[in-house]
Amino acid sequence: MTSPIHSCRHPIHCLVPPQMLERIAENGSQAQRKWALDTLTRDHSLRMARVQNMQHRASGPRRADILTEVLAGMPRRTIRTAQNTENVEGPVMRGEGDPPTGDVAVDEAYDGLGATYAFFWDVLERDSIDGDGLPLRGVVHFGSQYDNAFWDGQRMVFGDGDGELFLRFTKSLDVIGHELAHGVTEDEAALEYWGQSGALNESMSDVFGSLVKQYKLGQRADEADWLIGADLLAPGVNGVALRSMAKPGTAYDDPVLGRDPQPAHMTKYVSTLSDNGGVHINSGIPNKAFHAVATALGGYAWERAGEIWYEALRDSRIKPRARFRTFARATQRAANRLYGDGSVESKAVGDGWDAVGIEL
Amino acid sequence: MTRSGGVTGVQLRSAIDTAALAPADAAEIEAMLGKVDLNEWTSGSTRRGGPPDRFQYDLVIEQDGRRHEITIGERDVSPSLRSLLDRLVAEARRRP
Ligand SMILES: [Zn+2]
Repeated sequence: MTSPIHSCRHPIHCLVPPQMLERIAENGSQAQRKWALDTLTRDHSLRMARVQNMQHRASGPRRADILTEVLAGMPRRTIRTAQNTENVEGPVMRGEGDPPTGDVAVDEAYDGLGATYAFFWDVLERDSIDGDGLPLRGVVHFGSQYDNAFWDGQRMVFGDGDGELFLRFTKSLDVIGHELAHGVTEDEAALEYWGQSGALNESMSDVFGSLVKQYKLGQRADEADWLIGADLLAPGVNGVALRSMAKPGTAYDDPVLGRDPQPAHMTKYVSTLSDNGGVHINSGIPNKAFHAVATALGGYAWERAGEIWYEALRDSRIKPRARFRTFARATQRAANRLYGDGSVESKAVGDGWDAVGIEL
Repeated sequence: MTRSGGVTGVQLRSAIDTAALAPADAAEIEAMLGKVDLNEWTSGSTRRGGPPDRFQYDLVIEQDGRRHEITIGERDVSPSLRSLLDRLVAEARRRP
């Protein structure tokens, strides 16, 4: 086969911009199109079966449709470095299809955003944050010893950690998934970041963050650790993670960090003005509900519990100030719609919310 | 001072009493405080909601018999307030 880039013996070492590949895939000869599609899909071994199927069909008449379909399954990632300042428009370190840089935070962000994109696409058929292929922008080395990561409405930003309490925030795949999921939640429900709606917003990020990791590792619900940020506590910190979805309130107990403040039941709901009304505290309640549903159902948590939660997030009755019960009822409707009234799934959802003290 | 929020959800707390500090240390804190326009923040800067996973600072400053309470999101911290908050955070992070 003749490569369109004749000087390049090994396409994997070539830096061909994705736009050029797309053009080749669209307009090139049969062999060129195949090469371009191969290159575009290289990082996506999980989807190889589907892609091969498309390549098979790419010789047929539906070429444009197929191309759109193939590109819809492709992330478009750009990782910048803030160079330890707070400038989020620092130099681009790695664009889509670029080889690893050797900068571990850059490469973890690239891979983690790729794994998160793959989860949303493969499992939920969602094309990126907005469902329409939004390019994924990551920024690493933000700030100085910055103990945090966040979604700023346009990009996912990661600090290096201080090294004593927290390590770099790209280290946990579920934290990368957590940040991207904030973008999805903003797009679907715009849950106000305060009180119960804020805790729901947080919980959606923990749920999808954890599912991204479980999907990547191929773990069933009973094999998963259900921890958020298990990799980024520094050595010497007395704890296992930032949060535990299986046992909220047990993730750490440390002289500096204090004790994990998460409740696992409505009777322990924390009323506070700090943390935007306790959004990272009371998220333990819906987190536990999700864990209860997923483990009751067994198998892969993303397949039924995850699908039900995602459908509920997209429910038009979920308004920005939705409370726990409103969301719980949306999950019940979703379970009934997807699996039928009186189904095992529907019952598991009711039991899961009941376990955390929320009546449907 | 309480710093809450961030993706970690970890709350850090600390307090500094300048009267209990060595004179040079106390002078440094006073100088940081002097650069902060406390009146800028006294008129209820608390807001509901905010951007996800950013830090929230709750600060109580007692000075010359006056008490100022400030709630401020990380993005709204001025450079002058920033050095004071950094100092308080460093204090909170010290292992006992
Ligand atoms: Zn969050």
